[in-house]
Amino acid sequence: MPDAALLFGLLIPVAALLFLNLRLSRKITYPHDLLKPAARKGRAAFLFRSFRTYYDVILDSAIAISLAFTLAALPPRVGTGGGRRAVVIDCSRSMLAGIQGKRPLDVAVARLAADKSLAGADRYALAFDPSTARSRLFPLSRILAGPEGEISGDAAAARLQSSFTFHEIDYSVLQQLPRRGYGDISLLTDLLPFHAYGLRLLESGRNEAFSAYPTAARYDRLAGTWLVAFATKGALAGVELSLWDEVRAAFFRVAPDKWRIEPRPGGIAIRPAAGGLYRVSISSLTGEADLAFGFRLEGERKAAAATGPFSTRVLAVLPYLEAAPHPGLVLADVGSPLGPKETAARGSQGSIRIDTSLDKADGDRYIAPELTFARPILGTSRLAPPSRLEASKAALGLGPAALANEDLPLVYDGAIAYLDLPAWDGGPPPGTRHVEKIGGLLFTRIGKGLRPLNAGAQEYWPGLPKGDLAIERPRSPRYPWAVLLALLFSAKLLVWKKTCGKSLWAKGKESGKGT
Amino acid sequence: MTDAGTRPGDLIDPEATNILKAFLGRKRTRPRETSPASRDPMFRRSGSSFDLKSIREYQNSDDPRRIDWRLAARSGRLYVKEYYEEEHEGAVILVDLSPSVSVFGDLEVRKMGATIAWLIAALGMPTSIHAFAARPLRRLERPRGGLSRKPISSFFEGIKVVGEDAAGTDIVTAIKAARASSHFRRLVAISDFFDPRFKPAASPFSRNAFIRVYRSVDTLFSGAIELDVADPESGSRIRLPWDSATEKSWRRREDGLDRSLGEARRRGAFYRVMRPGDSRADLYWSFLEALHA
Repeated sequence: MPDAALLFGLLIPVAALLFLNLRLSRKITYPHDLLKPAARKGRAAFLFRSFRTYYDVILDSAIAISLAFTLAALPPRVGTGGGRRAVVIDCSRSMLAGIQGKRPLDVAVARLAADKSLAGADRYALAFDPSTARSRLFPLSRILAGPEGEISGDAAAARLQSSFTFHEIDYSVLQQLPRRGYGDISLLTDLLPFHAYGLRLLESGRNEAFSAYPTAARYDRLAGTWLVAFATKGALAGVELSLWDEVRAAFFRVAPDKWRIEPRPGGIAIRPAAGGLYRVSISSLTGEADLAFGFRLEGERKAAAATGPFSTRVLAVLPYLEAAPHPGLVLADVGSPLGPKETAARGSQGSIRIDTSLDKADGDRYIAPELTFARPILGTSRLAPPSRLEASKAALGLGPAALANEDLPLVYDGAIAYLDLPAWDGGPPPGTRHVEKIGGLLFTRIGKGLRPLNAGAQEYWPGLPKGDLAIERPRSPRYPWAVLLALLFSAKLLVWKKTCGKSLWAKGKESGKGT
Repeated sequence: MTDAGTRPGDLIDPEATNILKAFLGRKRTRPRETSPASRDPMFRRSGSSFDLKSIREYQNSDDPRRIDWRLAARSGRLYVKEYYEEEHEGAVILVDLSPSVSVFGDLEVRKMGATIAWLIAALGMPTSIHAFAARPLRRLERPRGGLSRKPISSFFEGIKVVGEDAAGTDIVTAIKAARASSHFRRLVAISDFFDPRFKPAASPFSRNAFIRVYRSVDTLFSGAIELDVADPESGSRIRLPWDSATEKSWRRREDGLDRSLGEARRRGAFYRVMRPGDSRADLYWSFLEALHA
């Protein structure tokens, strides 16, 4: 709705015109013969009789109103619910942190029942929907319905926990509410990782005494094992490691002799002996719910192919690369034709490729430090970001100084580590249509393989707000009002021409005649 | 002259009788050329050269100039000579009753027409009274003139202009119809002359009197910047700003109409503009003077 002050301001000149019109317009009866010069001829008879005197003011009023609507944003469903109220329960992973009964989810459910300011508001849950791999707003009226009215308290929290997937969520979905006609939006959450505008935050805060989050998952070549490191908080009761069995399509506990757990500063490290798809469950001593994470550990030895003399030598030098008929890694010298195997591998899903060009002279640039483990090596590097839909690529330019540097293998280690798929994903990759829920964990399926999804670190560790979340009223398109404005002006000009008989395009000519 | 003195059912102005008496009571002998009375148009004409038709006894309504003084001296009674051409000495009185004259005043126009028609008839002249609007409406023939007021008042009172008759002012057709139905050589037209086809110089009558009833548009309002003007005849409306351009244009048209009628005056026609408040007695007197000029 246009601002009342704006509308009022736009209508002031119209009211002034109306006043002048009433004051200075006269209705008379007189033969037209003497008052009908060529330039002022015309008939108002085509207008409704009651419209004739005030058509100008009426059109001006309509123009002012449409101008106000053009300048201002319109709420959706004008006049049919612009002021509706909604309360949304945040169903992100962090809402389950803490001891049962004191979790942010429990606090939110209790407040939903107790806070009188929320009474009468439409209730929604903002949760991750595995069937669409997107965050969605779910109406709570059915979910919380019980045999004797709406359930509340622990039962309601339990119902929510069983009904929704508590994962990382996209809060921008809240933007849908204004478009549905809600003007007053409240969000029951723990601690929103954004600066929020346009909604009322009812935060419970975070007080979890126990938490953990993976900080690394890689193959430790020195130890000859895989390494999954966790940052932890609070007292841990135990860790359980399970391995995915493709044949039986289930996780099974890994025998204790097949892995070990090591304390690390600020956390723990788990060392499985072999790769695979793992589930790590960490339990606490303080009675909080177990934390579970998924990892795909693979590629301690990578099937590779090389073309060109330099890349062939790199393939021979790096011990974890082995020539294979279906390479997941292609090393190529720039300018060398690819062999049949490499051509077959090029562009295949999940494969990576490193092109190397040997320069005759050194430049003044250094290879990106994330590829060299921060060691300074002269040369150039271009990286295409990792993607599961296209082959990841890196292009290296090496000069004499780089070739003489004994740390040069680190560049290939770093590039392969950078380009290779991570052990887990934070959110579903673009284009994902659904997410599978297995053993309390979420997975996306790439081909026949499963890739685990672990919620972001902010769901386990409170941090400073990053960015803004602004819930703005959607601005309706202005062109309908602009078209209406144009039509009204056209009508005004048409009526003016009809009643005054003056040509719209020959003002100068008419005025030149003195008529 | 006010309308207060008008008797109910009598559209003829009450002063008309006195005006007629005063006109007839003027000195009937030719004054000396040096006398101011010599300017009386009644005596400007030196004589008539028409063929004698008959001799009859003088009546009050007869022109005193027609008295045969020699015969009077011999017989001791007053006689007047009638000539053949006198059959054409009557007058056609054409009165515009279209709705546009209501701007000036419909009743005033009817009174003016009735009074002039009565004055002419009272002078003994045959009259053919025509009322018109968008077309000729009614006609009243008084071949022998006379002093009776009622037929004339009834004629003007009985005309209601409605429907298609009220859709305009067609002077040209009215004059053509009058010419076709009457052989009189005089025309007295009372109208606002808001008929663009009308050309005074093209009148088929040899003696013309144009009495234009007119009300200036700027007397209808004051302090307006915009006018919503309804045409009393067509009912259509125009809206126009009342600015210098409009006023200039209106005055130019007004001057053009006045000029064309003024041109007729220079050719010998009687032309008088009557505005609201103007004395009708002056009009009647000057008209009678012009009639006998």
